[in-house]
Amino acid sequence: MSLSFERLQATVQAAHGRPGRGYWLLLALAASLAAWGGWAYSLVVRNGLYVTGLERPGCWGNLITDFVFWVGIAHSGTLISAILFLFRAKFRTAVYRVAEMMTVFAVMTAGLYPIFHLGRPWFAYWLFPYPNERGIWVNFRSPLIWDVFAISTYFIVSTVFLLVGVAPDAAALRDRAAGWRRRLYGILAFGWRGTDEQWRHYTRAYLFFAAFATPLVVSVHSVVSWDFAVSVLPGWHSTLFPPYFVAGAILSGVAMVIVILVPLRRWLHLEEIITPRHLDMLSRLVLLTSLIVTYSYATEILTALGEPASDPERSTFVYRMTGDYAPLFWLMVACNCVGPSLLLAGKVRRSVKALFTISLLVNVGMWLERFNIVVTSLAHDRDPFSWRTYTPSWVEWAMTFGAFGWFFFWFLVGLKVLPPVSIAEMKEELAHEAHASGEAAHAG
Amino acid sequence: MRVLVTAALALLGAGALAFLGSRGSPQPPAQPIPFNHRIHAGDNHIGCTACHVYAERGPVAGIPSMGRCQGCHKFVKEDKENPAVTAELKLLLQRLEEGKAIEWVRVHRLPDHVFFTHQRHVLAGVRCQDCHGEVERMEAVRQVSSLTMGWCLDCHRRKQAEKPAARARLTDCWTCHK
Amino acid sequence: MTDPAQKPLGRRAFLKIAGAVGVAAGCSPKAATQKVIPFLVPPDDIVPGTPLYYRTVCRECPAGCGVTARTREGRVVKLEGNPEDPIGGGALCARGQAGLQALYAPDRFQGPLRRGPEGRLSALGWDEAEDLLAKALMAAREKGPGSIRVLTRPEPGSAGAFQRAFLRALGGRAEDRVVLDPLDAAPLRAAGEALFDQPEIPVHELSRARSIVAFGAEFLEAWLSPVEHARQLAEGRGRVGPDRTRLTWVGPRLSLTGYSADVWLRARAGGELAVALGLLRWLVDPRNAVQDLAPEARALNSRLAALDPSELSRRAGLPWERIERLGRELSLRRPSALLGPGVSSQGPDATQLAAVLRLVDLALGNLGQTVFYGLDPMEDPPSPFGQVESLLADMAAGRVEVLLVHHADPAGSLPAALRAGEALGRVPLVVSFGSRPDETTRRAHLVLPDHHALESWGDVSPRLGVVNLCQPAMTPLADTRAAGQVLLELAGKLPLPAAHFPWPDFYEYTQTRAETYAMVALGKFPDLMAVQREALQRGGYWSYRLPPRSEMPALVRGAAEGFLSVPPPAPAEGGDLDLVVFPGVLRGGGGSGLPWLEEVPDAVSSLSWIPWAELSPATARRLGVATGDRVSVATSAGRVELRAYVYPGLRDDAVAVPLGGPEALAALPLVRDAHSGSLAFRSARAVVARIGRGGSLPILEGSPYQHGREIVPTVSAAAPSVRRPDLSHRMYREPAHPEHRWGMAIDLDRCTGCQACVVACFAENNVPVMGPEAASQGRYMGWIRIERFLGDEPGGELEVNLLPMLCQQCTNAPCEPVCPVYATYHTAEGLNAQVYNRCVGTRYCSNNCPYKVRTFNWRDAQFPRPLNMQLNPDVTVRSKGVMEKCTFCVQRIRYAENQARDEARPVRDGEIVPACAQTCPARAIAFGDLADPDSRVSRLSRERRGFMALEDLNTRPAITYLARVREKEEP
Repeated sequence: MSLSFERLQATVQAAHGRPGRGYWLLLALAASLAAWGGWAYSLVVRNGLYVTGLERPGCWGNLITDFVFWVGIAHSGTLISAILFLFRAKFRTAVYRVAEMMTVFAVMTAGLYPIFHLGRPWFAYWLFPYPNERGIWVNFRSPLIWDVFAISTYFIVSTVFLLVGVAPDAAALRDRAAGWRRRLYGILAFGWRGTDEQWRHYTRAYLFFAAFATPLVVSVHSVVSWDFAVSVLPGWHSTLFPPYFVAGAILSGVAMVIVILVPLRRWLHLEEIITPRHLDMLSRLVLLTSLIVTYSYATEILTALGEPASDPERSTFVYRMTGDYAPLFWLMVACNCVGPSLLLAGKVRRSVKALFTISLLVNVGMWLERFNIVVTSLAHDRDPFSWRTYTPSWVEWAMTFGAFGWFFFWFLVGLKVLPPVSIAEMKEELAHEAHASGEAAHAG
Repeated sequence: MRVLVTAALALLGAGALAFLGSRGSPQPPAQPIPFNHRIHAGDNHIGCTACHVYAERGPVAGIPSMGRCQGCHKFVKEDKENPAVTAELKLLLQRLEEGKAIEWVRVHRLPDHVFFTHQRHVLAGVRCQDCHGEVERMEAVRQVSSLTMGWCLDCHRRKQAEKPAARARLTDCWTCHK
Repeated sequence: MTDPAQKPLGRRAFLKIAGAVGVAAGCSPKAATQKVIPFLVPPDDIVPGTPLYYRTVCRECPAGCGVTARTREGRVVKLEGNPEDPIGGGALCARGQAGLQALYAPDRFQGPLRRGPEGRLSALGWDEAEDLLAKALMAAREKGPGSIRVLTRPEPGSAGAFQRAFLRALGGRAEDRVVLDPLDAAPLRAAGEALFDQPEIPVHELSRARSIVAFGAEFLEAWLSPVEHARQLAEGRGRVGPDRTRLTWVGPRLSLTGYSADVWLRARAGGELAVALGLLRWLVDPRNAVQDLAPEARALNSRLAALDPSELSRRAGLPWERIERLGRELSLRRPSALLGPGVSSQGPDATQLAAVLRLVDLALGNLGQTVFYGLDPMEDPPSPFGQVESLLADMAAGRVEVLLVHHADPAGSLPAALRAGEALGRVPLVVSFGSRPDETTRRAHLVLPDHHALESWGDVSPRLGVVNLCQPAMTPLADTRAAGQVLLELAGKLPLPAAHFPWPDFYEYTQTRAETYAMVALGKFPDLMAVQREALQRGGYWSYRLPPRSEMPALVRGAAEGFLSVPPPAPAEGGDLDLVVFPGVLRGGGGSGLPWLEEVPDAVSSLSWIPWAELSPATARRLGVATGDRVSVATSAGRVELRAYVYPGLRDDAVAVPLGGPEALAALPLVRDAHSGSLAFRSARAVVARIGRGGSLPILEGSPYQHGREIVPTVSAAAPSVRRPDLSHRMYREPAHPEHRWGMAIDLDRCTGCQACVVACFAENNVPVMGPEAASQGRYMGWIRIERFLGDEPGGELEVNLLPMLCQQCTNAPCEPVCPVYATYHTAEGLNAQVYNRCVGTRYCSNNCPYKVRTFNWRDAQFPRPLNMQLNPDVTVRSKGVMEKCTFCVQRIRYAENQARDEARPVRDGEIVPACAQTCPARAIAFGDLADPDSRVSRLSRERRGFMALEDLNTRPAITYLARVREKEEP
């Protein structure tokens, strides 16, 4: 490919140019969605969770589904930037910045739900271990406390990781920007001057962070899965959950990256930077994780069906597939198993449209997966007399969609502030390519 | 910068106030009539439970009934030595004439989800002064202890340490919250 | 102030600080100032914060159980049975428990009211009201006899006696006073009169019976004296083995009483009589050689032999063998008890059914063993239904000038076909002593609200030798007056020599009556005062004894023959389904309108707040109806719209509608019992049609089937032991319980599912009432629920099992480890504590609870004034966003523990009684210390019938259930 440094720089900066009407429209849309969700939540605070569709036994519903969903979305970022970095997967360079931004904002979204979901959110701080005269401590046996730590850790690490990666680019932009941008990049660049010394430290640090972040990819969603796996509820109590959840998380995350990249490519004219090759690689990732997820479904169901008819575990899974929520279950299968399997065909992988649609559906499917796990299990517990079916109220839907508004609001802002692709690493890559193709290295 | 400073100051102020709040109030509240504990409990050595009659029998110690005030002040109508007291007594006698109850301003108060009982504490040999302070030295009663959960637990833990087995309940949540 | 940035501190910045500090002040622990107001003169029996008890009487139904009212700071907070009272025996039913809410009902009349010309009720003073009424009475008196009438509920005591005296003083006739009990068991009285010349309601002693056959008599729900019956049945159920009481239910619908039955004979509606006749026929048939049969009964054979078994079995809707088998059982298992007719079997042949059953009793020698005459005090028995009808007729014809209505609601509790409402409209002056709005007060011209029973003096004698005294447990809440007092004052205002009563007030009247009782009891006491004081403290005068056989009346010569022929079959027009109306255990005969009774789900359908129509699965399928659909039930009397509930416990040729609302009454045609003339509840045929879908239903049950999970195992009397999982392997250290481990044992063989425990729990623990909307959204807050399983799989064999489900206080509680803030934890006494003020409301504990017994406060609970006065001060009122659950009444546990410590003694076994156990009429719940091997609960939980709910989860509950014994067929 023949993409000069200048053009690269130019394209990336073009992304930071005066936003058009379309951008403002999207931003307004996102903001109003978020506002709607906020209003809905204010109802919950004022009138109690009575305004939701929650009940007994369905004490958890949409909101917990959303929480797990967004934590899942948050995974792709670290995976793509950290793990693939360690594996020296070249194709990541073009896409990881977007993925990392996604991660940070997704965690910001996910983190809201546990608080939204409390009966008395004004006491949310009780979930943190802080010294108090009463000498009351949090219950470290509770998976919810593990969540608190897992999520906050993940948020901090992924944010730091993002900022470290941004530093050189920020410096590059600072030199060309003016006004508040110049000041902002000044801060984000952490006084970067691009000396060899700094480069050496930078690469070391980056490697270190990558190595540090990698286990989190596995741990965070494993911890989240324990919220369910640790309980005694049929359909929740399963040793399979951690790997199954991690795979699912990566699947939804990568799918989300694609869903965001495809239009971005178009609008910011990044076709030359984010090439079909990159998309192809991502779609392979989708395919792989989808296969793992499918395998998990099969394992879960077959183990359950092995039990005698009177067994609650079996009963729950039969209910999932044939009961009140069966349509959602089969839709989920279609989105998470059937859809991605089409990516086996190279033609499909290379068709941007198809890839976009499939990924979009995967996100729908993954939301449904969490809904199925949370809701159907609760609706069909051990004591038949207490069975009930839960249906979300408009308030919960408002908060669900509001979250998307909140997420995309930050994402759109981020796009205009942070470089959507890593200039430095792209240059590096180009340099390598140039070198490989035997030309004299161009001096930056 | 200024905003930061103001915020910091605000927090400081808030913290200070909350802190003071959590300690007993430094000032006694203004009561409808200037009842003087020093004269009753101090100078005249009237025992606490002589007026707060339920302390040994029930959860609340009880405010003395107007009848009980009448009991003594039928005879004690003035103080020859200091006319100031006599003046104060006038207010009470007038009330007793009218046969109206005095609406005292509450000094000690616990939240509704705390189930405190004087009976248990008094029978356990806790002195009134341990919680209410040297009331017999106070002109007007004010809250001296914070009455926060931590404050309660300090004592409960101490007592429990004496007989850990027998006094296991002392730090059980359900002992005070039901 | 060393900060340099301080100097340019401007006005705005300063205000910011001030504001923030202000807010901080708001946050600080010191709340707004409160006032403490002392007593003027302290009442010497009240110690603030400690309970004070009064003995009095429950007036929620005619049974007249004695109660103990627990008061705090002068207001009643809880009702409990009076253990010394021979009727209730210390227990109280759901309706009795809810009597409190009638006292604190927000819609109670606050004082006398008069209906103005514009038709609205407006307040007036008592004197004014009484003058007004006195004038009216004098005017009416001129119009001749019968122009002043009294319509009252049964008042077997001072109130009734004084009404009669008052009416007499006015020159009224005895029949001018009509006593109304909508569910009056008049046929029993009629049968007694015809057969034994004893116009009485017989009294049953079921604990002696080895076999009980209930012919549609809901004797555990509403029939005669449910609490007493439940206790007696439970005693019989306590004897596991051959002597265990065997209960057979005969009728088209399996009622709550039927749930306790070992056998259900699915007789068609109205078939009960055929079964009874067949039974008698089989017994006296010499070919069956039944031993020691009463000769009078043998003599009836000639008549009975004429009855054709095939005809009988056709009318009964049962194969003849079933009747034979029943006969064989009763011939062997002596003594036995035959109960009926109840509301659901009270048809045009009710008296005949009652008579035939008495004849069977006679034949088997049950008289004087399980059924007794001579115990009816004949104190104010309900008037014959004919008198009620003639009163309504006179009213409609304008022959009544003044009608005094005393706690009776003709317009709201009688079939609409009687047009009582219109009749009331024709009376120039309707005076009601009712304390709450009902169909009658809505038509009354003058409302003179009576005290609630807990505010008034009086006495009730439900039995010969039982006088329960009624004394005020608190000062009246509103400007009400005892009806008796009002009559007394009226008499004073009447210029009649006869109307000058010697008593200064109604209290004195009750005391003079009490003296007559006291005379009887006098002897071991020096003076009457002492007797009366003691009687008030204990709750009554009791010289109750069951008369010996010798005192039983003999059969009147030739009286039986009239009852031995099969009446011509009822005409089949009007519809293809038999209409079965039945009284609920919660709402009884009339609608209660009391929040607890509306909120607590019906024991059979688990529906709350609404009436419904039951259809059998087959019929529902035929009509294309599903549970929750709106259906119309049309009879010759009228057409009502109800929600459908598909119920396997009903014959395919019937539709069942509960009493306790206008619906059932609107559908009842006006048919009378041929002999007693009393109202026939069972006669109508109905057409049911689907109207449409009904939306969400306020129902508690999810699936009424066990789905092969053996949640509630049953055992046989021969081998009364349950197969239990082996949990000997321990992986973790179990928590230690050094001092006590509180536990419970619930005997499912005794439990009748009467819901008394549920309502008692509402009352004791401030459990909020959330309303119909919440109920249909699964936000019911009850801490105990009676789970009712109908069998293993839908369409499978019908085998009803009840399981009272409350917090199991697990030793390995799944809810504990998952709470992030330690709001729930395991106490050293083996309780699973829930600390409301620590709970943040993640609801994880509820998800992880396999029993689903934790309830969440989805919104702030409502306790509209003055209902809030009933709240138990010893229990926190939970705020929104907090999880709550059963605590084994920890407040009672701590109270007992503290008392024991003050008296320097260990807690006695049985000293601590949770509200549910205390009120249980069947004494099915035992509570105590599992750490003490000799405690009653320990002994019970070691029984072979013992099992634990979902035991294989190894949650190690503190509750042991004793499996129900089931004997389908006589061994």
